[in-house]
Amino acid sequence: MKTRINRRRVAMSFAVILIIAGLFVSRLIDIQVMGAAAYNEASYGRMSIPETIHGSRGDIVDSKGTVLATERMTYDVTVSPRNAKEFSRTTDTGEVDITPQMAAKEIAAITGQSADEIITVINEAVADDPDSDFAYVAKGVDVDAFTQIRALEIPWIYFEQNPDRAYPNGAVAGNILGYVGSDGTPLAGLELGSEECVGGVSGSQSYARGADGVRIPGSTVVTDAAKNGSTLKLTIDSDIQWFAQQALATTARAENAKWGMTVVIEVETGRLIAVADYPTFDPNNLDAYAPEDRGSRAFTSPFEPGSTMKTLTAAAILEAGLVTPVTPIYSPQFMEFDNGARFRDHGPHPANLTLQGVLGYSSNTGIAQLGALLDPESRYNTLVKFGVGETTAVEFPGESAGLLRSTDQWDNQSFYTMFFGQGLTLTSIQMASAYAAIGNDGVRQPVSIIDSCIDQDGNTVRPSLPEPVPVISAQTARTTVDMLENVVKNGWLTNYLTIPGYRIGAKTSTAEQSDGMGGYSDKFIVSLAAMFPAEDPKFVVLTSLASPDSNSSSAVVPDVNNVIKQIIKTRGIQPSSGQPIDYPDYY
Amino acid sequence: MSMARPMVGGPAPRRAESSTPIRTLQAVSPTRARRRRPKIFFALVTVVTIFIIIIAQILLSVSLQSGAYEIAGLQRDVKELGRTYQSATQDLNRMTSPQNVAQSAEALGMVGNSNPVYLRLSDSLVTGAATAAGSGGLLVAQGSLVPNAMLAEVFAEREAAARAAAEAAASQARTGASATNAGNVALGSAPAPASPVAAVPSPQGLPSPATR
Repeated sequence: MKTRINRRRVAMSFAVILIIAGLFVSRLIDIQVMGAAAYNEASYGRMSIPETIHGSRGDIVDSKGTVLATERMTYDVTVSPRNAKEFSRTTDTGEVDITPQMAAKEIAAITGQSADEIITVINEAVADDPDSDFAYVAKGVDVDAFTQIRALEIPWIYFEQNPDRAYPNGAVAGNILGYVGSDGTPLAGLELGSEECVGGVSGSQSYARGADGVRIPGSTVVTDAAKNGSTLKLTIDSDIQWFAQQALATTARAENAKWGMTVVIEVETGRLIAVADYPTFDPNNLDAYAPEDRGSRAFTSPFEPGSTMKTLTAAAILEAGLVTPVTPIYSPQFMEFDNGARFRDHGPHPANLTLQGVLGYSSNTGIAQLGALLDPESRYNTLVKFGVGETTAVEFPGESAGLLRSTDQWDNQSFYTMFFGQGLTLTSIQMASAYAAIGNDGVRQPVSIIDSCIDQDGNTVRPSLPEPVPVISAQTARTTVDMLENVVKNGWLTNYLTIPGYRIGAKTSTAEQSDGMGGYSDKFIVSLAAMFPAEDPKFVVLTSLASPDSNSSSAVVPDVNNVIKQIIKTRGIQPSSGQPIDYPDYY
Repeated sequence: MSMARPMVGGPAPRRAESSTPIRTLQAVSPTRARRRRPKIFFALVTVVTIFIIIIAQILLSVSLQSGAYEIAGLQRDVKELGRTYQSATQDLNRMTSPQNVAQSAEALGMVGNSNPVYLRLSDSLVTGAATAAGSGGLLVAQGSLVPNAMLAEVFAEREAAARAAAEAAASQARTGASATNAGNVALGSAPAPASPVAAVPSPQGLPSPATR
């Protein structure tokens, strides 16, 4: 009896155990086989959260470390329209009910919109789709606005953050800095040209997170390390750059000029200290500018330089030993040459000029006759050594090489007009560099705008630059500078360009410009190239203005004068010593 | 189990004395009552140990958890401080921009003297033309021609502050009531220009020896 009961008990228990085990097994199959994929997916989503590590874009700084371009975080304010309802807020005075209208007004006061705009965004989103959970209220607000809006604690407002490029000095050097697109792609200027230095590379990582959304410590796995961009240091001095831009814009506005540029280059090193363009461009406010005004014409727009070229011609024939500064040359107002070339001088002057007088009165007929003493091959080679016809070492995006035709393509007219800067084109940078070569004892230093690239660990990489090019002898260079100083001393420039205590050499230009239809426009491009202190030139300042109202190179003289004064003050340049050799204008 | 040995050590010899002759024959000892005590004791020890382990584990995981929260909190702080840093740097950078410095200086009535003049100490020689700066030294009197969108709001706030100050002054003059410090708001707390540029004082030049 007892054993039967026992046996039944055992059987019962066994059956119960079997049933329970069966339940477990079926559930196990359900989980492990039937629903495996879904569970796996859910678990991956919960356990391993992929993340992009943002590789930030490097700063661009000037020669003294002033930040010209940097990265900042901006915020897009978004709303969940379907949840945009009244909510209560605890204040010092108790619970206050805040309606969407009130909230919109608070946001609008911070973002500078109108409350109606925000309400419209919400209403339109709800009208389109009653379940709408996403709409933009404002895009790209800065960190201050973000903290203020967040402090309002509106439950249906959310934020997205985006790295954005900021230019704290606005249009200072804006034309050469260029800009980046809204997705961070560099699109122009040094931003584009120096992508290798400043560009950041984003990486990726994943981390695990508990059910409560808190990251599980030590669970982060970096699959791809991010690389932050390096700092790009320029040779530009932002103070002089700003001054040059302000002064140029003042002059250009007064003269109603179409465009213009001022280039300041350090003679001994070829470093660009300022490259000012007009119209100026503020990369913070991209859309406000016409596409053609967003770049740097100083690099990208070559033009026929006109009489500033005479200095190069004079240096070339002096170097060849064909002339001296006092070589006499009969220079009438108008001349027709044997090959049929014909042109006239810009203004009246005595005909009995020396080479010095030809430069001082800017006589086209005089310089053409003297220049023709040099054979075409030597002419061409000297121009190439001065850097004409090839891009500078800057390699600025979109930089132009200008136009220098080979000798077999010179036509009869341009054979002569090239001596005074018509029939060939140069960028302002090329011309400033050529003058710097004359100032630097005849040796042309490679032009540079990038000082170095400094990575996060402080390692400095300097760009490799080509070797300096000897163009003319130191003696010829000295004579040429002396002649330029005589141009200032003995001509009309003396009243406008002279700075007491300082010796300055300069050459003006009133160049004809193409009218775009194969002829010349009746409006000129006027320029002044100056170097100082003339006893040992340190800086070259070159300003050009297109189509000024006065149509005269006198338009740019006060501007160059102001820039030189500013450089003297900023760089603490000592007053000059000595006197130039006096060369007479007439024979 | 080594923990239990000293305790078992007590009764063991006695048990050995009494049961040695019949030990191999009797699987179930008649002295069951005497054996029950050590059994409860073992169970107790096991249960207590398990409890201690469980509690220790709970404590450990709680402290790990709170550590995770602390890390998350600190990371939030880092983010927040990063934002404050960015906001401050942004303000600093745009305030030090040349446009702002020039405009602020001229608003205070300062004029740049563009004539470089040097005084050589060895022989008191003055080089350059020592003339007082005139209105020609004003660079941004007509407004900055080098725009800066990042500064625009600073200028806007400054103007608003100046306007508010002017209004406050006007209402004070009208009513004679004590005016509030309406002018000193936010970034506008930089001295608000009362009039754009006051007349430039013209000093009588340097009391210097004759310029050569």
